[in-house]
Amino acid sequence: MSTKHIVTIEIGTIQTRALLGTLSSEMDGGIVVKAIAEAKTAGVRKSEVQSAQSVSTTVESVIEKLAKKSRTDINRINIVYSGGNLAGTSIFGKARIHNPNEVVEEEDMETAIETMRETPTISGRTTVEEMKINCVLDGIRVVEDPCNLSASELTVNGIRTHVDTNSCRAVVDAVEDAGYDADTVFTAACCAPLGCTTLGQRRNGVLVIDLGAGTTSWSVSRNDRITAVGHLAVGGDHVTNDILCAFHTGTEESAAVLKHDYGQATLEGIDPTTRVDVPIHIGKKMTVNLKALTTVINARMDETIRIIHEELETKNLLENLGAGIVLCGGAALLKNLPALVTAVFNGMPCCTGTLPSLNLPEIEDDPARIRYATLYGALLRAAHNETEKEDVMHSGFSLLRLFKRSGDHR
Amino acid sequence: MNETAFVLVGIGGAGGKIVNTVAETNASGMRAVAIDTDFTAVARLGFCQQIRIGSTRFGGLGSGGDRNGAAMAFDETHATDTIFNDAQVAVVVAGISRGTGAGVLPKILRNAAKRNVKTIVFMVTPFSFEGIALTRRAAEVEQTLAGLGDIRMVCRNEDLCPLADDNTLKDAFDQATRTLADGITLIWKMTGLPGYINIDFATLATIIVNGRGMCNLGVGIGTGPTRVKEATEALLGTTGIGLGNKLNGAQAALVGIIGGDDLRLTEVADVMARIGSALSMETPIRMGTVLDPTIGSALHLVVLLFREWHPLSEADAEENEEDTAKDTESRKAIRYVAPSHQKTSSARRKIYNNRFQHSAATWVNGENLDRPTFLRRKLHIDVT
Repeated sequence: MSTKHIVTIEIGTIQTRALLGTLSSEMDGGIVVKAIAEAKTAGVRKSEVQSAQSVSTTVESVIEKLAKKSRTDINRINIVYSGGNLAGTSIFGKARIHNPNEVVEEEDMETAIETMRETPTISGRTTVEEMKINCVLDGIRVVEDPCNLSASELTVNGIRTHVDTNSCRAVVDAVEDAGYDADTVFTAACCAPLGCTTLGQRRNGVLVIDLGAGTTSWSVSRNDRITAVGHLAVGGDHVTNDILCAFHTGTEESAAVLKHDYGQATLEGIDPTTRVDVPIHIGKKMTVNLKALTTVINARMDETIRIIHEELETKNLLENLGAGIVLCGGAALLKNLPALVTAVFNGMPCCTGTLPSLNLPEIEDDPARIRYATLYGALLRAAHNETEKEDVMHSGFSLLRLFKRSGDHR
Repeated sequence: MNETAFVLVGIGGAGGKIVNTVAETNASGMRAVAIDTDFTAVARLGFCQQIRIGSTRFGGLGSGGDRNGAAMAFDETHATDTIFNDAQVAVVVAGISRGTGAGVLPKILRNAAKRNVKTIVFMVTPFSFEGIALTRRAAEVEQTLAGLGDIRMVCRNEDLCPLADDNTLKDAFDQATRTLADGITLIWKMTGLPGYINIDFATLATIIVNGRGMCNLGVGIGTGPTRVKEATEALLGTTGIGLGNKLNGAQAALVGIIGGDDLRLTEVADVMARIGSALSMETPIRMGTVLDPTIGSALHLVVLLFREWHPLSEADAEENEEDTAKDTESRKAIRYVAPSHQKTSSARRKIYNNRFQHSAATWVNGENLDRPTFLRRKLHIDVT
């Protein structure tokens, strides 16, 4: 029985987190999470590296903690990336079916995929992932698996996620400067659905919005495949900044605690006379009006969600979302946020996602455990990549049929 | 007059020509610099210090619209290092639809910021007949300059010279150049010439800090007995660089009145009453008068309308003072101290700037999302 350790790290704007999982040949591609570690991030703003040295130090500290907890030597790390103005582009490839029976064969699939991958990249951008969405026969019939079906032409539709090259490179360099090999880069938008939704939700069509501290990313999944992704460089950090700016709470920490303890996304049920204490204000005692605090938060969240709604509406992505909207990430914990999202999306149901049990005592009872969803999703994807290497026939998560490993960031 | 305190920088063809026109009419007491990749064009600017960049890259023929190349050419030229020596305030003029202006302008503004030189930026955008591609490009460049420069003005060539049937192409461009040159000249005169209600360089620098962001320039000129009426009507009108419909939403105004030795107190009061009545009651107005015997019986008015106004509180001013090593004592004497009810917005601005200042701004639908939403939406927040 062979055992492999897989590590994923998410260098967030506020916190850097890492997960270590063990993959055993006996577990049929399954992964057991062994340890988690986290530390406050230094040198990152809006998910972009501001100080390479500080980020390296943070990575080193988190991975050392993880190694200590799991009693494992760690050399290779998978990275979850949420900056670099992530964007998704539709790509496709075609193949003429030349065999006498006009039946699609594996070879034709490979040709179509190869053509799809040849779609030129945008200057200054780096491809992170390329994923299949569906196959179309003769431009009409959409099929799951085209092999052995008769047709004269095969089209493979896919999505390519890409990021700003230099921004992404800065993260990879920071990990390597900390003394570790950067293995694969995943985008947060493509990892979040695996960490916080069920297979049923992904099959029925779901919009996952990952509200991080520095950025907000979203992805639409249908038939268990990601069909669109997007990104907005606004996150929980902006809410904190708005509070700090409005009430002069003195420190970022006090504004953040005010947001966590009293913040909510809608003004419903707020007593306009209620005042709340600013928790760690330096100097004299201070209180703020709860309605004013909520107005500041509501304005920011409403704007963020509306921008996403507008983008999805423009791209005609709001149809066939049978499972509605699922929120994850630290900012998803804001009280009443699902209600606000439902209101902005004209009544579409919304809930906060659920992270499966990871059997880690330190986070098992944590009400804010949804913030680990993206990291866990990345661990599942990395595990899938590993099993795919050993056994190419293993299907794993159909969502993760990557045609190309995302190692071309250098 | 301290000649070096005020420096005028023109970038590219359009910027150089405007700066040269200003320098031509005010040959003494002003330092003017023109930077260009087109050596033939810059050679014609006889009233400026000429800085040629990109000789190896472009061979002196202009950047051909290559913005990045022009920016690199600037970095390669050490002759630009001394532009801001001893300067307190710089007026920077550039056409932002073409290569040299668009590429070099951000570099110049960063350079000025590093040296703590306050900048007033005039970004000239093309006539609409020059094509949609240039207009779009100018809009893109304008967005990328959002965090740079202290106060910025977008000057549409069409505003500077309204299209008329009898205008030749040469007339149109010349008039646009002259109109903007007049505006800049008046700003310089306002700070550079003596007057009874003075706005010196340090005061102007403080006002620039308070009004950081986008602003509008208005100019009005009148002569003879009805000069007040003529000048204010031109200033508040909608043609030329009249303020017209830009008066709505102005957060503050700086008014400069430039007259000859015959300028009367009642005329100053009349000008201020007319401008004051066109603005909201709450809009703070700062004014200065200048006596310029060379203009004879004319009256020149120049107004800077600030779209945002974040007056320095005393605490902020103290910090600002630490950043500004020079002229400490004189600044203490003239520092503009905000009324108490305005202090909060100053602190807001400061915090907002510090937090995301090193990140690329997030622009969506023409709005910078790094600015707090409640400020952009002008929501009433009870902060008591």
